[in-house]
Amino acid sequence: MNKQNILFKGVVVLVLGLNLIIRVWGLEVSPTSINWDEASIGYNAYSILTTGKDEYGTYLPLSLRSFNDYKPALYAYLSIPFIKLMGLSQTSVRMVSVVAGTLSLIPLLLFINILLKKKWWSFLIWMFYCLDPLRLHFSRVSLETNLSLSFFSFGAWYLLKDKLANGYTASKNMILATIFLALSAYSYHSARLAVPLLMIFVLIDPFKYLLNKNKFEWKSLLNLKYVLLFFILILPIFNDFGSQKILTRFTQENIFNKFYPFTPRNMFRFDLNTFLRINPLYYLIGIIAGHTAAYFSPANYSVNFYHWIKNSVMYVPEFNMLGFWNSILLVPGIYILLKNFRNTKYRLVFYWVVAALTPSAITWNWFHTLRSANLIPAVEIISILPIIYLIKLNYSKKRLTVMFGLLVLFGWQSIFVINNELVYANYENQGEYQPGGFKEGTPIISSLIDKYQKIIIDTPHAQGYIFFLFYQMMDPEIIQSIAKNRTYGMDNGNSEIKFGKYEFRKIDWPKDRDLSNTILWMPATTPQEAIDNRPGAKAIFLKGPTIKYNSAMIVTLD
Amino acid sequence: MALGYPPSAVQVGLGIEVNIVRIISWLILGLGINYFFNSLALEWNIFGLRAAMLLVVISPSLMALWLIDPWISMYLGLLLVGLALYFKSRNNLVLIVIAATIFIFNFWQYGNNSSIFRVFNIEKTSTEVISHFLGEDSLSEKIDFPLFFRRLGYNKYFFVVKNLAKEGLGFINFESWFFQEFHPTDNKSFVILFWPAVFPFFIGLWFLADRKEKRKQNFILILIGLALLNYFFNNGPIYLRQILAVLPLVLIIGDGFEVIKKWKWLMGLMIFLLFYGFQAGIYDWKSQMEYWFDNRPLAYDYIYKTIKTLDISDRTVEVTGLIGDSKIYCRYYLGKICDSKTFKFASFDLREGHQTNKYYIGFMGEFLGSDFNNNFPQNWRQKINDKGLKIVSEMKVKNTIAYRYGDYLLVAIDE
Repeated sequence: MNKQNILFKGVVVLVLGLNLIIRVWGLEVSPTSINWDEASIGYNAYSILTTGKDEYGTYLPLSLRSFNDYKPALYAYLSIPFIKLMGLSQTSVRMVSVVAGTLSLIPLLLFINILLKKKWWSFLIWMFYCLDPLRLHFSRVSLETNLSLSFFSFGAWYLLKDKLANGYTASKNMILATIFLALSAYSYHSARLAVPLLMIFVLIDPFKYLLNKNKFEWKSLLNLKYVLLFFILILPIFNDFGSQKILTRFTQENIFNKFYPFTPRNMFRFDLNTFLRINPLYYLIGIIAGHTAAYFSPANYSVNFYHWIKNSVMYVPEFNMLGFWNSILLVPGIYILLKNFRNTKYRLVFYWVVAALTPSAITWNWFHTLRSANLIPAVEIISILPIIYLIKLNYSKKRLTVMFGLLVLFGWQSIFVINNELVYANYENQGEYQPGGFKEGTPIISSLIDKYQKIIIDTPHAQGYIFFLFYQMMDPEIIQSIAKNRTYGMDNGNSEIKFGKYEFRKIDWPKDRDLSNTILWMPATTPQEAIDNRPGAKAIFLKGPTIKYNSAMIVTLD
Repeated sequence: MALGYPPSAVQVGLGIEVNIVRIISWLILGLGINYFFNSLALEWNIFGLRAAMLLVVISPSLMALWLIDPWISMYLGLLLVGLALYFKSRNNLVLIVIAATIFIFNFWQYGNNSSIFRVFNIEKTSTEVISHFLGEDSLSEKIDFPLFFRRLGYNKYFFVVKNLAKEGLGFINFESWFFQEFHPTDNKSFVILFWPAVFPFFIGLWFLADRKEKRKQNFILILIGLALLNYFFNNGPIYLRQILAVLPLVLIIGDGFEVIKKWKWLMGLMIFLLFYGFQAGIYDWKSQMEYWFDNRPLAYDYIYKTIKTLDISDRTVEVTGLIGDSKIYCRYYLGKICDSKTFKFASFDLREGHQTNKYYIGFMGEFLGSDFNNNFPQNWRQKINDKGLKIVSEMKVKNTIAYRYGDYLLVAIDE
């Protein structure tokens, strides 16, 4: 290895290290608190670590029943070493995402370099794309999709590298690709559809025949054996709980379920006029076309904030998926992609986008960053294409000025992104996917629990119990022992549950104030005066993520 | 016209019969379109141009223009002529005149309220920067970055650049170009082109990029630039802001049709889908006029057509002024009688009492008192009757246009 190579790899490792630090920095306070999915993954990992079973008592499951949404369990398994080392905490449960998010930057650099073939320029561009707002955000929250993205990126790298460089597919790399892509499918639902689509598109390359009018090469169908291998590798997922339960999320969210009867409801009638003039099929195809086109619409990557994004873990204030400049570059990027569509390299990027957006396009949301996360690297590559084009142009002062301007803008944006993600986002997201009070209140409960017979908890969150299991590291065997009686779930509504001294239900203050030897945890809406009027009652107010309001109150009834 | 949508305030203000105004708007726009596409025919392929022209003609946004706003129709017609002249001459002076026209027209219409002025408003930007600082400072627990680092990202210069980038990005919006009627934000606006056009658009974009026709590519780039200029300086609904985008879009789609025509079945399918979209769109407009269009002309149409049926010979009429200039509508529908003492045009409040032998025409809140949340009792008819007023006629106005005053427009009298 020559000195140049050592230096290059050294700086790459340095930048990766810096990215790891930015991702891991202050995880205990930012995002302020864990959300219910993080709590569930963390607690189930803890449960598997200590008992070998999840909270429902299933032995080494491949999917976590959790809130009846059957989360892929790989993230929880990979969290076990961190929980073992660091204990069950916000940081330990987020570490898999941190590491996966950092590692996923490597394939991005490799892809840029294979297109540009100038490693230092590739490095410079990559450095700024490492701090893409959504990449940074997803890396600081325990998200199965981020783990899936990382495996998907490595899988796509092994799948595409030979094709990009030499135009053929090497079997060694194909096997590696299939394994990584299968791991991606073990990590998140979307990959289970995106992976076979990507493999089929890449291995068959349908547009080649359309553009060049070549005869179809039947031999290429033999390559589909890797798709078969992929399905064999992921078969155990469906065997675990049965395919129907694994597909629960799709059943709830699919486009057909939510939009039926497709023609706007206020115009739809069961009559001939509707059938002839406003046919549901016309609207259904329109909706699917819209969902697909949404992922080619630069406005969606930066300025169109949909309500389901704004109130969820996907939300990055000020951004949606890409940075401002990245989104602007996406416009000429799409043009360059189409301009070079006859070139296999560019077609492969297009296939990646189409495969990765499909799982999201067939669900009801117009644009969904979580379900389409696997397309992030491909979209980033498209937005890098204009820079690559610029670099490949002949040397000129003008070119250097533009490049310098871009670097300044990207650097400036990166500073804003760090500030925005690590601090400001906590203010914007408070109360939504970062419910306040649990982190502050559970240690208080732990200190009081021995003195009281019962704790009644009333929270506005449907799965409030999971925060207590997580923060108090509740003995999993207690929870597993009540598994048979648990019917509640995310969409079942009923979150009333009892275990040990804990009871989760609505609190009726005029009635429950008469209880004794009890702790009540309730929204901070009952006036202090009412508490003072009950002899032997004391209230402790729990601050929310901001100092402006109390998120809950603990009332001790002696 | 077949839609039966009543005249808009701008059309009424001209004092000419609305159908004549619409025909003139349509002619001006039509002549502009014809001249523009004929001029392009010198270098463009004829088939693609015809397809593009057809798409412009059936564009919902353009149809809405000649239906509602004669001034913008005229503006667009003139721009089309200007653009055709530029295409023929390639004289940059013509281009400057076109850009100046876009700026002056929008400034005349919206003053300094357009988005670009907001972006460069330093006072507003400073407030936005401060709100970021205040938000962060209110957190109970947080990572403390040094102030200089925070300042590097949170300063008015960065925020101006950021807001400018965001504003510009809103222009490249496939949702408002092709999918407005499906769009989940329920942003009430007309779509630029029906969604089936998205397929030939992508094919056309590829075709345009694939070929080395610099002159054509540059012209489309100029059209996009001018459309962006209009987008920045216009403060109307999204379809008006994006109205000039229709030209580069249809030219690209026209190229798409040039590619598609090789496959007759695909061409047939595309034409079928586009015309099906057109008729479905018209059906949608007709059956939900109050959803897609401004409800005020509908309300005035109802008011003055109802007055025509009333006996007002020895009575007076008080008409609500809550939804704009009622008198110009009155003159349009009823003529000079509106200048007499018979009519009074202002919002009224009948909580304290009313006069007899006088028609009151207004929203339910003007009869019962306004409500901050627009909530009115179920028995509102009874309550108005209890006041001694008889409801002669009523109309439910969808998409509340007089919030706090209810959704019912009433005609009532105490005889």
